[in-house]
Amino acid sequence: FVETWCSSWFLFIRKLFFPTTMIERRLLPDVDRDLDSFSIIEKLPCDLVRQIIECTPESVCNLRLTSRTLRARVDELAQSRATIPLAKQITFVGGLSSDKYDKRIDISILMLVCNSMLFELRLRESGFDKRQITKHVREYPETTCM
Amino acid sequence: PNVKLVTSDNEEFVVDFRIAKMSVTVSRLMEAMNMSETDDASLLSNSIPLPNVTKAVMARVIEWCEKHKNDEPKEEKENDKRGRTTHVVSDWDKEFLKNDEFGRLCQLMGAANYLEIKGLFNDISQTIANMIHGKKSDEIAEMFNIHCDLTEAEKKEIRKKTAWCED
Repeated sequence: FVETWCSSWFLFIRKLFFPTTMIERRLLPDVDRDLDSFSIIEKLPCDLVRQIIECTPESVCNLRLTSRTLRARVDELAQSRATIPLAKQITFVGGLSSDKYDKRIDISILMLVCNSMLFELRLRESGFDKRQITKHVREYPETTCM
Repeated sequence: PNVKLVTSDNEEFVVDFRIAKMSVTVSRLMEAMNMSETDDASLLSNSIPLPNVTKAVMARVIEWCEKHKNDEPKEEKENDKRGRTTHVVSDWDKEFLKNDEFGRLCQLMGAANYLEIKGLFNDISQTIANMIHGKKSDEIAEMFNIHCDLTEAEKKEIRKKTAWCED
């Protein structure tokens, strides 16, 4: 039982934090445009765009609406293993009940609000069902976390 | 001691050894070419080729390095009121970068990345991120001259899915 339990939660956590192992990454956006029509920011190497987005993770949703190229860049970052640290704390509750129909485990992930959009994008791109996830925003003395 | 750096357009820049060492790339090349601070002959007889940097961009990089050559290594800290870890761009750096048009800023960022000058790279990426921060998609598109190739239906679909992120 312990082995099965560990194995399934290892897979869950791996999917959550290392989604590229599960999902094929699209390196190039699905675009059919003349190279001259790309703006300077769209022509920047992926690494540089990524660095810029990581400095303003709360802008990911607005950036995705600017063009297919930038949408692809943001999605690529959301699915990437190596991003800025997103979670500050992960807590597991439950799962140890002897009742075989009550194996539910609640996972609480604490993070900064500014990182939440990138994290939610990652969850969505990884195929998580939003109905299973609830978001709480609470004020901390010095920072705002969810 | 001075080090000779040669740009892609064959311009030679003679810079102080300390400034050359600010670039991890140049530093590695000097090591590979057995150039050391105490060996003037090796410094005089060799030059470091930098095929990915133009004269104009190199001049700006050197100007930044001159200003920061005596800086202590900086620590990133959570300084934003929302707890975001941001790189603090000093007033001098803001002034230094504010007159560069976006294209030049990107060239400078590319050079800082190639030369591995972390401070300059962080300054530029934070400056561009600050330009994006808090702006709507159409404002970002207008600012960076982005031709939006998304159809209205695609935008609607993205907004619908994005609503989750914006709850």
